[in-house]
Amino acid sequence: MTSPFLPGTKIQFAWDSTSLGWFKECPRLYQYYMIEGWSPKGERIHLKYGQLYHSGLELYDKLRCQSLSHDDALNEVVSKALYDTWEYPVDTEQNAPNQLAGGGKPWTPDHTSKTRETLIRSLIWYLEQFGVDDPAETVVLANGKPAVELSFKMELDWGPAQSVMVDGPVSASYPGEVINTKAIQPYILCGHLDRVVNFAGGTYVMDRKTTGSALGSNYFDQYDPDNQMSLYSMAAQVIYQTPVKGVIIDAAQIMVGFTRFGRGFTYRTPTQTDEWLSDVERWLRLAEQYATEGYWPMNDKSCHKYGGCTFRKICSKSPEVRQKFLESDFEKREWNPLEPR
Amino acid sequence: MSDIATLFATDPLSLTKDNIGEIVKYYRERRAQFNLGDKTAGATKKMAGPKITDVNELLGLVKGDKLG
Repeated sequence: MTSPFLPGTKIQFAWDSTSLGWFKECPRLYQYYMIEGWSPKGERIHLKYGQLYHSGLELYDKLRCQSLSHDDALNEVVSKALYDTWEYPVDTEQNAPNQLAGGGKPWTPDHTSKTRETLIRSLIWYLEQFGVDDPAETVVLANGKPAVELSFKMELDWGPAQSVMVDGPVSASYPGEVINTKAIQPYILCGHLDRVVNFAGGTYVMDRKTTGSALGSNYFDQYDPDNQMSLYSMAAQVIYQTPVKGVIIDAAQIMVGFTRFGRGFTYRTPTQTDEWLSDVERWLRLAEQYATEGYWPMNDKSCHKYGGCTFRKICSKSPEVRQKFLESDFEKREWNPLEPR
Repeated sequence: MSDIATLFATDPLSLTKDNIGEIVKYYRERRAQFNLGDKTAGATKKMAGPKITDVNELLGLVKGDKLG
């Protein structure tokens, strides 16, 4: 897997909305998550649950574009979700799950509402609500494929100041532009679009979220303005060469006894997108400066937002003991924006 | 008709198309209940409700009060 950092440095050239969001929120948060690869123990469940949910809906969108009926596509989704959440015994010789041996057991995450049953229920209920007569229709790409789960990588026309290799050209283990004998690594903005849709005469990115929060106006207001939604609006516009009005957020509130859905809209004008990109240039310049110094300052005005930062209990300790607390309460899980889904 | 818990506890590769249909049907029915206002409708396990041990508590009476 290609590293998102310039070789031999901590200067990140490939950015997604997650890592950019960390940096904007607090450089120290970014250092812990992105530079050092720490993650709170137990956070994997949210990632896995989200991936399973997205994977089920992606399959549905694809099958519907192949003209399968709603019922048949729904059955396939349920079947796949059940299979994906079944843990087969591992064949020690092959070091892989052995389905032929039979047996195995259901995935039982240590969480009250994010369980195998609520996953299947949420997929069925979402598709019953939005699957049959969804006014948002999946865009079909020029190659005939539906615009779902699209990974994108956009090269910007500038890069880190230190990316100019005077001894180039470098061997291209990462995408780079070769100019004479100098290789320049541009910044890359990357990410994954859940779905691109036509809705009420406009083109939108659709982003699906799972949450434990109530889906009132407060929930949807958090996306305007928002780093991820601005990036997605811009990416879809650049990649598909078509005006994109914004992002439709299909959120699922997942509780033990029910899943409730809400659909919200966040709009971006072309000048808003330009402004966002102009801001990104300055943020990335700052990120390069911190990486060069090898120091990411704490933004102590962010520690208490959104119920408190994950790393608050680390930053509240004296610097000399922080490492011990990190090793005790966190685990290593490196985040790589270049990793395909 | 299989019990929903049994279906969930079965190796997915052993489930038939009808079994999958039963799971979908089960959750469609639970969704209809949820839409009628039952916020526990989607739980596969029975959720704990308020425990009432004394009928007088239910009536809002303190022990020792006399009825009438």
